[in-house]
Amino acid sequence: MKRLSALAFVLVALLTAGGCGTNDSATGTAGHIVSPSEPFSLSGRIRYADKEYGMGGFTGSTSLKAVRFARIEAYSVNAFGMEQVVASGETGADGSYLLAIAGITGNLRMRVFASTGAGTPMTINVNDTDGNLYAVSSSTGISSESVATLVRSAGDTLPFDFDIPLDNGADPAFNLLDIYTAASEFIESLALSKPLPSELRIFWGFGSAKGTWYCSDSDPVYCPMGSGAYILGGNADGSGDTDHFDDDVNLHEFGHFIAKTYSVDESPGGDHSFTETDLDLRMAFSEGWGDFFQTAVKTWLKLNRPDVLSISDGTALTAYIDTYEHLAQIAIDIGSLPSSAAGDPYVYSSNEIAVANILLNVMNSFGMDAIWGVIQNYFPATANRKNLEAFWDGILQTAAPDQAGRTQLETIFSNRRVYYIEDSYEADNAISTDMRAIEFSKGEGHYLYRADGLADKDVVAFTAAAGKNYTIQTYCLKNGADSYLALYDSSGTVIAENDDDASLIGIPSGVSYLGCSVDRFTAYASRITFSPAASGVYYAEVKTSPAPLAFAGRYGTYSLRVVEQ
Amino acid sequence: MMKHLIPTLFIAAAFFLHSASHANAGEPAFKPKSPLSLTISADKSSYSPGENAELAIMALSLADSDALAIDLELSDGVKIVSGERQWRGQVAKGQFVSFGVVVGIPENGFARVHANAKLTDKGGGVFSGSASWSTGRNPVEKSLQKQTPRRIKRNGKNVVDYQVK
Ligand SMILES: [Zn+2]
Repeated sequence: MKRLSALAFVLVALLTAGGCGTNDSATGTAGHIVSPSEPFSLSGRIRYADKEYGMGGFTGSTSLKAVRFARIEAYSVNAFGMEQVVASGETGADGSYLLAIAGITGNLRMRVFASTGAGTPMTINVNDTDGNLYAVSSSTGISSESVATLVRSAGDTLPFDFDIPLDNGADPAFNLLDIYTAASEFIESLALSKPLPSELRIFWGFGSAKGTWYCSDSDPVYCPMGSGAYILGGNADGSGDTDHFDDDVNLHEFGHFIAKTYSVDESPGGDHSFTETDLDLRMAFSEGWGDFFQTAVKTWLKLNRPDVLSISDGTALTAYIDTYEHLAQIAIDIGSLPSSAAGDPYVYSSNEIAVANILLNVMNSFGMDAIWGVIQNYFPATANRKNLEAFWDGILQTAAPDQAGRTQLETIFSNRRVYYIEDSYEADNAISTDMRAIEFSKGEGHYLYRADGLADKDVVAFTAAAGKNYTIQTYCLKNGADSYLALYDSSGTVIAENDDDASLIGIPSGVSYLGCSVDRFTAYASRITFSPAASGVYYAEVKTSPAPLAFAGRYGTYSLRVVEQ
Repeated sequence: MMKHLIPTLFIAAAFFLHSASHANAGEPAFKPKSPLSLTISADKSSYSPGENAELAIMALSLADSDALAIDLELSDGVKIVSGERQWRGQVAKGQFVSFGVVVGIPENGFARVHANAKLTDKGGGVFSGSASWSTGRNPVEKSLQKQTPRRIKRNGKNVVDYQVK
């Protein structure tokens, strides 16, 4: 007669059940009420609402997607509105779950936490900006009446599906959970030198309008909750810039987390935008890695977890899209930049999209493992600054390309006007009597790079007449060049040296100087003016500054000219 | 009434002393920023119904573009007295585009002007920026229904539980 008494209890419970009281702990139990129900299983799937996006922003289409690997619990709410957790577990890769329940004492409900469990490479916890973990509960769940009707015998399985709608205040937390989990799955597919950290925390909420970034440490202003990804949730009224459905932005931030965890990231931080061509080389690499990383994850997802992707048909996996309200404020296809178009800003090792495009093409030709080898193994080992130059040195090691492979790499880099190749004037590394003479007033484009890996020097000769004035200068410094100029007489004795041309300090950015727009690197050009006492052959030697700036490189490109007045 | 502001268009070289990218102590790397930013400024802080508001819309582009488009959206009842509600043209990196518009405030006293700017740069990047200006109280403003979560604890951790309605 167990069944009958169960039904009787359930009916009483239904009649007396009030509103759901706020129960501040999970320890609330049914007290004197004893569960009369038979054991049964609860099975179903949990989904969240996701927004589709394309190059124009959100398309307006939404879909329900599996809440994967999330921690869940089934709980009963008794006649007094008190909760009792009756089973817990986690969802699978398709959002499905199966919970064994010994019995319930009231209405059955489900709760899903924005937190992943053992099924994932690492725990992702999505918290509000005060550090509270997000969860969503089903509304009515299964009434105890239904349970009593449906559970005919011990072990019966009760179906219960549960969807989180778009207007639920915690729905976006489940997109964040999904996308960071997907990124961790991608990372786990690589050869890792150590396991992923046990947890990554995400901080997000409506009204979190400060910005989106990843913090590896605490900071009272930017990272008040400690390490983790801080994600824009727009203004409190839902307007403004939100990133909780901007998968590309979040995957970019995960890229930073990975660089900090497995590699060395020397970016000084701060503001940056895609069209800046004179970024600190360390920042350009760090950000270019993030921009590339999101395409690498999506490319992997397309093959392994296509359902996770939220891009519309026809949107490239290689696009980076950041929405503002319903429109894209940034939309660029990193994989198909118009090659060498005049005014194309996506060039040089000091531009993050150029870096991202190069990494993407290296991945397409040499595989993600080759890139990962540089990031995980080479970067921590090299004493050089972590920028595109170090990546170049590293990929030559990890990919060990043959001559054809090296030429392919050179092409990939040169397409973004990054030249880690010898210029056409080599070999011009040392003063010699048959040194090539530079034509007065004619600019020559040089690359500070030697294929044998040694520090390059570019030397030119010119014949100067006593009493005349000569200006020797480097200009149009690109790709992080920081030049050092020395002038030698015909005996090889140094007669003048210059590291930085002080006359260039303070010229505003954007002004044209000798055909190049003034930028961060302009003032690190070198200039010597001299008037020889004796007519004869003189030599100008250019090399990388022996005290190069942290934001500059060891290599770089520049123009050289000698002007006779 | 509007002697001092004739709706005009000008492009000014900004030649900003940058670097635009720089970090202050403690700053993390912010997410990539749109190179297009927009502002709307008005000649006064408040207006009476029937009055005209003189607005200046200014865009700063940190990208070269042959195709910058700025469009204005007006709330119900707002009329353009003079000026254009859109601007199309070229912009060079570091330049401002600015134009003026005079709008009439409707009888209910509420006016909102939203400006959207969009450009395609010479490397295939598409960027947008927006700005809003408003005066008066929006009669149809719907406040976002803020859901209040239940607060529970699991494994010593605070949880905010949002019940599906
Ligand atoms: Zn970044």
